[in-house]
Amino acid sequence: MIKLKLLRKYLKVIELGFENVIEYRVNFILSLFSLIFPLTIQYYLWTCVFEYSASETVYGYTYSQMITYVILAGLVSRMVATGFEWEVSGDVKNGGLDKFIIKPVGYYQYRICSFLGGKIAQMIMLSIVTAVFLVLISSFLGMQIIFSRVLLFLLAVSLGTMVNYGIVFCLSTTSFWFNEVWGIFIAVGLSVNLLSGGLFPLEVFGETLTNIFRFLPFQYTISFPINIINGIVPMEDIWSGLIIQSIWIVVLISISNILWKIGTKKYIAIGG
Amino acid sequence: MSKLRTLKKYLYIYWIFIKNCVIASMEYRANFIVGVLSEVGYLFPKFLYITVVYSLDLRVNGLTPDSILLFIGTYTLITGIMSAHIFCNYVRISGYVRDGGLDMLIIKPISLQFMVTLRYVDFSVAIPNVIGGLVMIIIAWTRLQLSISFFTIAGYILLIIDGLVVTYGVLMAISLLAFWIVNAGALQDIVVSFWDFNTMPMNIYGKWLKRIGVYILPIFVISNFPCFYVLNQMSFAYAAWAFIVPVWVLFIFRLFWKKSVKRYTSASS
Repeated sequence: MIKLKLLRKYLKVIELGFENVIEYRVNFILSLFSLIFPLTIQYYLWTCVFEYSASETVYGYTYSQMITYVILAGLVSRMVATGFEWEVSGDVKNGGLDKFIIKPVGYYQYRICSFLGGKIAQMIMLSIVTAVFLVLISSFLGMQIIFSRVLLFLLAVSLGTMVNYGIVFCLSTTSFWFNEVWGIFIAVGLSVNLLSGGLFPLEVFGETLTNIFRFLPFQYTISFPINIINGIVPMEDIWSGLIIQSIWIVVLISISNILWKIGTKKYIAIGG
Repeated sequence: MSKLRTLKKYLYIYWIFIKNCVIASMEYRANFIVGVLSEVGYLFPKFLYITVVYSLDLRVNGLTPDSILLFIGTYTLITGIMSAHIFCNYVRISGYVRDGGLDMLIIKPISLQFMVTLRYVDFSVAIPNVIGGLVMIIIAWTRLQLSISFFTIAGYILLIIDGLVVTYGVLMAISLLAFWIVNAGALQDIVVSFWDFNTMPMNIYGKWLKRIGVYILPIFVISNFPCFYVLNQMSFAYAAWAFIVPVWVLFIFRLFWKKSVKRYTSASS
């Protein structure tokens, strides 16, 4: 009975997160328009590269695989993007955590549920846009889209979102040690996006770095899901990739939980 | 004579604005350092573009990787100057309209346009881009063995100033949409990503996109023209347009500005 009550409470938080995104849907849809320009730059850049290249493949990608990659990179970056780090740092800096002491919800659980609610709404909207892009890519570039890979892509993106949640929550805990963290968030956020393959495929970094990246969680947020859909990841390697994603989720959420507990001991409720 | 005196007065006021902003940023040193750090983050994607260009030995319509580096460096340098002097004012305009803050600026005994569009300067965002951009330009200039004569350098600097004037006119004209749409938050994302069009030389884009970017929404004028000039690729049409476009953009902006200020309702103040 107590467990059911607990579940209902957090389901309500998920619902609130969902409604929050739906309420500001026009803003979100408008922000998607800003994707058009970087995607145009990428399209022309890679078209130019392949036009002047003597080889059929560049960094191991064919033209259609590369265009699929760079277009989906923009969309998947949005799918896995967070944003709660600003709220966490605001709560730590301005004493917003105080109210959670008297509320019957845990802050950590509240954040994860609110994030999931918002993500569900964004995922629905972004999946529609992605589906339109995939249809266009398959008709104009002759790229074969395999249905089972699309389903695995959706699963990998969902897991990738949680991997990113773990990374960003670890980053958010820096708010306990530093007063001004917005620069850290921007600089680290941009670097993580590049290391995740959010701008170019990771092969751009060269073989040595790409091999090192295998031991880091970043590529499992953007690069891995996209390479499922464009056929770069062989079918037999997809499941092992999904398992590695799940392991990273457990590891990162555990680390962020530990960091959060250490951080809260430093919290002095200034401004609350 | 009186116009010269007015110009001198405004230059002096602008100098005071700069001094005031530097003092304020030194007061909040942590914010300043954090601002520098965040801009360093924005340099990473540019380095990655350079990596791609050199590792693939990319050649676009006569442009070698070194020439492309010159374009990316010029774009980075202009981004630094633009963010320090123009963008930090641009982001405040919708706030002035939404919260009624314009009231306090209207009553000041100087030009309202000057006060709204040039009041703030933020050097923290400029430092990484200006340093990064200059390093790229110097490397490209040396490797391309470009002339270091007075005319080449003066022409290059003049065209950068030309691009900055165009940037001012275009960005500020866009910001005036805040007088029509009260919540223009999403517009900022669109403008930032639109600016990124100059990351690569305009030679990579299609014919129509180039025409639109030069003559209709003159984004390509900003960082492409200075490079075309030093690389001897400036056509007569582009040279003529370089003279016309800043005047034209400022004229349009001024017209739009007058119409917009008339719409101001002083809500929320």
